[in-house]
Amino acid sequence: MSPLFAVSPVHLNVTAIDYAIILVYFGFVLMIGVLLRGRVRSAQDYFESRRSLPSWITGMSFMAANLGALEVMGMGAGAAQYGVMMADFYWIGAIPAMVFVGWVMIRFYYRSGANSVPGYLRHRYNEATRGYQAALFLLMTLMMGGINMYAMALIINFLLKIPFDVSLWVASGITLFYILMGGLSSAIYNEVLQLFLIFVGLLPLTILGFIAFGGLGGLQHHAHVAPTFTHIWKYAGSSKNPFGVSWVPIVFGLGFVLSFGYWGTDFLVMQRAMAARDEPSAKRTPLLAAFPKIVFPFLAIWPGLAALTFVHLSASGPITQSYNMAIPYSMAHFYPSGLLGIGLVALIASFMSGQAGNISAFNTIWTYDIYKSYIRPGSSDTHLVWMGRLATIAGTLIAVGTAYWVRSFSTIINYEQLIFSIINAPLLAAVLLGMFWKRTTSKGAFLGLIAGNAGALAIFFIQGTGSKAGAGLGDTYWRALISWGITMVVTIAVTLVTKPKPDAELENLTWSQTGPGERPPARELVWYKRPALLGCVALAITLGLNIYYA
Amino acid sequence: MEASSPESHGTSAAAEEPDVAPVLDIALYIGALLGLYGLIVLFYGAFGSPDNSRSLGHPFDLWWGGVMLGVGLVVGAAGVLGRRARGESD
Repeated sequence: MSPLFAVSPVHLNVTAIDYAIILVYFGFVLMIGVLLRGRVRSAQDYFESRRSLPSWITGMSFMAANLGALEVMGMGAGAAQYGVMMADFYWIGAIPAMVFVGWVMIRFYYRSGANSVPGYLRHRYNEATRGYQAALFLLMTLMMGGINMYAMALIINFLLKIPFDVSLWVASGITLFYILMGGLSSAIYNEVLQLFLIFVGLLPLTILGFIAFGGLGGLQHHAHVAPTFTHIWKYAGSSKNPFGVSWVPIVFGLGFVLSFGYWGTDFLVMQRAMAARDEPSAKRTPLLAAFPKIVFPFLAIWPGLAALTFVHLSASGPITQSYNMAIPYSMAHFYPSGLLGIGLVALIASFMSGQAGNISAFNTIWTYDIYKSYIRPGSSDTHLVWMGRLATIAGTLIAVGTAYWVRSFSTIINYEQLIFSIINAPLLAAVLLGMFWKRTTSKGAFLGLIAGNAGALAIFFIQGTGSKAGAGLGDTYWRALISWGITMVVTIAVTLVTKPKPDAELENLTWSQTGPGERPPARELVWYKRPALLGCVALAITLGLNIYYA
Repeated sequence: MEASSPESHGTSAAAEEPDVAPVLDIALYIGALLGLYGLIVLFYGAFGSPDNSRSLGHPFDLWWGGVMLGVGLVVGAAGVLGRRARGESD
């Protein structure tokens, strides 16, 4: 079948009980889809969950949609390759951005009344900016969906000995089914379930890894890794650390541009916050999601590091020897039957939550921002739901095709960051200028975005088009920073010579034209629901962890 | 058209029916699935033949089966209490 069967450095023993556990999981997600089918009565039900959900649901879903298979496996792989510095992606590259998004950015999206991030761009700027970004987003979503599916099928193929094609079609088919049935609600409710399963399936691995080598000092001894491997900041003064870059690109490239760009402009996660039942709930969504996000490095980094103690992995060579297998190998090594089934469900659940995020964002952007806006304006509600379901099927098929295409690449792990640096980084500049400088003009933003995207692509090709060049972490941080800078400069320059929109058209779209907002209902006034407190606690814990693991 | 409908719908619906029942009591399903998994793994750990040498000699199926059963019961109970609280306020 595939060369993957040939050699495995780790002995695997999957038994009937593990398969049974996986089948039970499939039964549950399908059931949730079926239960929600009858609830879809309008386009708003299908694409926005009628803006009816409480924040604990949207918060968990916000976190889970981000936790695709690539994120889970990629974090473990990164830990095996770069060590504890990988926590940068969370404790500098996620939490501060999530807090900022909750405190500041959500209100503009939520109040604008738009259905999507491109929808906000139409209100704030113009039709062209919306259309352009919607098209880019569709392209990006399909790429990411394909990479996510590929990672998934590879693992199932390897761990369960189920052929690549069967794993790919069955897993994406099940996700397709439940989104087809219940739309965004079905994706969100399943994501909450999946987040629980991911935590339950990975936590024993962290505990076993910890028992096996006992802390970072023990790891250094058992896995024979360099001291630079066990610190986040100590060696970040220069580029002589596993990432090969100093704190400057880490803080500004990853910590600011890439992370604020992803959390603040990516509709995949934002769609979940926008489904919240009121503005305070929407604001709380990323703040509540920040807490599981803070904990997640322990669930991915420890198992990734633990793999180094019993198997030799490398950045090149066949996939069975690659860092990407760190977490699956750790599971195969440490989990007895029974627990192994739970671990495999965690990996499958992470794939499905990422996939559902991609597909539900795809069908919304396609239906609202392309189809309803350009192809058939004035479509009936029933027709839009029908089109959304069609887009769900088409998006899944294209992503499956992409998965086969991705299979021909030699490395997959850094492509995620590569795509963000080209698409999200310029968008962040345009969105921030739009939100905080009311003079910013539509022409400025449109030209700035084109210049930023083109600049990022140009830098990527200058950095080299070899299999790995240009997809390295340091390259990515710099490219993100520069493409963000290009959009800033071009947008500001063009804005200064073009005519701004009148204030009346910017109501609730930009900082100076924004009122105090919806008054929180009485039940929202309890202290533990206050955004200021939630954000401060998240930031304080994150700061503490950065210091402890410095 | 596009601008006005979701906004008015979203805010007014929330203001008029603040404790509107969720579309699905997901906590009940999460509790049921985790509880079921807990039982399966717990029984397998007790009566099956798990290879405990993998988990460093510890009976991890027993331990983790118990943990999952416990978490499942807590989450399920939270779901039941939530439903009951809403029932009383209605």
